[in-house]
Amino acid sequence: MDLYLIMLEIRELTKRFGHKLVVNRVSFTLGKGEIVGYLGPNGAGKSTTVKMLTGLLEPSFGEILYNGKNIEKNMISYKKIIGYVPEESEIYPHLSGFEYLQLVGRLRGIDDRILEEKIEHLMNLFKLYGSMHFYISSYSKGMRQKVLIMAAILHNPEILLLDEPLSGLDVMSVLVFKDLIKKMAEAGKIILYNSHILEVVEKLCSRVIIIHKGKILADDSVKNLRVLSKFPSLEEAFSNLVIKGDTEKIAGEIFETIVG
Amino acid sequence: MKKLITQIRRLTELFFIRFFRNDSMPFENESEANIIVILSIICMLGFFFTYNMLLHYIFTPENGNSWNEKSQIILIFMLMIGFITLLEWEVLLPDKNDYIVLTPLPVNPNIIFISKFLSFILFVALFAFSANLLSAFFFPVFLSAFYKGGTAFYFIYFFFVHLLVAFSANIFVFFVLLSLKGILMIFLPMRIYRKISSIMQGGLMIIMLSIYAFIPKMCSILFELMKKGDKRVLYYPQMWFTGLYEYLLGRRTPVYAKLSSFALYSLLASFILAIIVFSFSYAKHAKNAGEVLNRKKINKQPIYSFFRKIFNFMFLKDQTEKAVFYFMNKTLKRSGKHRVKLFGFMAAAIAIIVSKFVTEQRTMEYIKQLGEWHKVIYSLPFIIWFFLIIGLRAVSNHPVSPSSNWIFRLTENKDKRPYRRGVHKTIILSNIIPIFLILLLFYSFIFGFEKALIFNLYSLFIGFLMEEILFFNIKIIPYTCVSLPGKGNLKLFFIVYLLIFLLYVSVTGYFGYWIIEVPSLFKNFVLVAVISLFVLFFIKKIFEKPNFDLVFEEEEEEVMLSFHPVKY
Repeated sequence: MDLYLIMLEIRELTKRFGHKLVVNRVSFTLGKGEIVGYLGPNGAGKSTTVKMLTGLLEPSFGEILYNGKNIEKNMISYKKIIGYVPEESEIYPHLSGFEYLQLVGRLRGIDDRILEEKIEHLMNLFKLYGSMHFYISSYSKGMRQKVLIMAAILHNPEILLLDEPLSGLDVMSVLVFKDLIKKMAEAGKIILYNSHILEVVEKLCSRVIIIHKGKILADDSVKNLRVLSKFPSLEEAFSNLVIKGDTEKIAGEIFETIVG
Repeated sequence: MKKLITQIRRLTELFFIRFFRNDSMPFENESEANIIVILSIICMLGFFFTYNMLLHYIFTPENGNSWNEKSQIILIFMLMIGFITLLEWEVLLPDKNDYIVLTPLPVNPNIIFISKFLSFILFVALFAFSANLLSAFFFPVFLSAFYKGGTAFYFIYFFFVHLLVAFSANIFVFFVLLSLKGILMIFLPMRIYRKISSIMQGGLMIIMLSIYAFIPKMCSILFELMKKGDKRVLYYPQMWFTGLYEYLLGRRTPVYAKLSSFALYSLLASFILAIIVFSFSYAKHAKNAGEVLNRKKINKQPIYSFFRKIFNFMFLKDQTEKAVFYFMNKTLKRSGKHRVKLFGFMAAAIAIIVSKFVTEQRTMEYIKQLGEWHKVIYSLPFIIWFFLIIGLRAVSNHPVSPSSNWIFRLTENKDKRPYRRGVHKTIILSNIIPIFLILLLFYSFIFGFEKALIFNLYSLFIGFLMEEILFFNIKIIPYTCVSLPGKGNLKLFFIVYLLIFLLYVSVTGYFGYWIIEVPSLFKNFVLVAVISLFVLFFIKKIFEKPNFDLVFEEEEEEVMLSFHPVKY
């Protein structure tokens, strides 16, 4: 941790929806050049945390500091330096991929000439050039995901908040994306990687935070987590921390239910 | 067999509910309550029309002329069901969602077909019943005494005849429109069909509303035709069902016999046509429902790109303005539900204009011979501005994809004025200016270019003012979220708004007339316009703050909260 200069600090972050406590006093830090994996089962509060980090959701309690300053005081400036890939492919279907990126770029104040060149180049690299003028409604899930990734990196953000970014991507794109994330981290970007896919997190992230029922259970490097939990892989360490039942037994019961 | 009936029942339910939960109908929330409110309003309209039409029978005998009121009520509700069917235009045939959900299930296509048809009948029956329930009661109350002595049995018989005839007329309209859509789908390639279908939907809405405005005139024409025994009475579909009505009530004259046979044949023909067309179009739709809409963007042509750059340089230098401008234009151009809603408003404008001409019984030539144009000519642009801008304001409150608006929230700027400028520029440059140019051409033909230019500059100024008033202090990016300011007020004060509209149309129309007739007034108008623009500029400067919060979610106003005593 000392290697990294702390840039984004989350202190006691809490979110309630009515009486339901979804994120409970979560605190962690994200340093420059760090790729942090954010792991947890469904409903653990991962996406809610990420949405609070983007400013799309207001925390019920706690604060987010960027370079020591509370982001709420200058949310607009903070939003300018973040890139966000949401969990769902929520994207205007009546625009083409090109038009969507043009909209995002213009809203981010990028000049048209630079923007169009950038979009065409990215579309080419993401193998979407041939379909960039088709409506997004006609795109597959993977194609939409590519557009969302491009929209997130178009303005060269300082902080990348990725919520299940590989959802629907083909193998080739996954490999390219993983390398891209590494390169961005090398360039000093802060990256929070929210995922269910343990193998990817294990290979890609320098640090892992495990959240369960809104609370952080572990926050350490993958190597340390393995050593501390005395399990050979992150998957087994994760199972030990989070999953409180016998998975094989549950699978058996599901099968019995189907068979009748 | 039991399984089949259960499947048909479930699917019929599904298709029926989809009539009320789709992109075209505004019933996303509290759908049941909204449907009940609308059906109640329709029901009360039935009472209102019937009572007003029949009241004179308290003082005067019927003398065999009540067919006139019957034909009116039949026509009114034929038009109403026609308009509702047009609102449901997109879901008349199984859509992509139905196809995706139903195809993998082990359901026989014939079952889907039967269920869809049953849902149609239920849908029409629901509206027909609501619309005609009270009229079915009041018609025998006022008229049964003139038929067969007004016995209790005959009263009940009259009641059911009314409902049966009304339902037949309504289902006839529904089948005709369904067949029309199906024919388009069968004979046109899918891509052209999608375009033509939207145009047809809007065009038919305009026709429906225009016919509605034409009813009083039509009544007097029909009265003359019936008196002379003219065969041209057969050209009017509502008369077929009126004939059936009278025939079933016991007036078996040759005219009514002929009309009622027309009603039965037309009903049968529309039913058969609907089934044939529906089955063919269903097959084609099922085949194409999975097809993606891969249409290439046309602005790749260098000439288009060149003009776009000039346009952007002249009017849209700010990137946020540009983003809002193109987002709004593309949404209105491509979103069917937004277009249909705007069509509804424009249809009302055109219907008012048509009715003004028709009810005054003055043809264009006749008016021209008098040496002066009828006042409606001077009101025309102001009626258009009113409905266009009100319509745009209304449709801009409906999100195209609410879950996607996070991108606007994530990219917010500190200074929100460019968003607002983008909205104003879109309305003016993409809507008001093109209509201004069309009107200029139209009036040049009537008044000559110079007078037309003066008149249209004046009308443009009014349009511009109206746009500024209705979009003043706007806090949403159109089509991104649900925000219904003034909804409560509209419910409470619609009569006041109607009076304001009438006053506005009259006053602006008369000023338009004076400006043309007394050219020296134009100088005064320019002076007033310049002062008004300065005043507007300062008002905006004072009241429109640069750092307001953009609204992205629906926040009901207090006046609305008061309507939900249980909920809140």
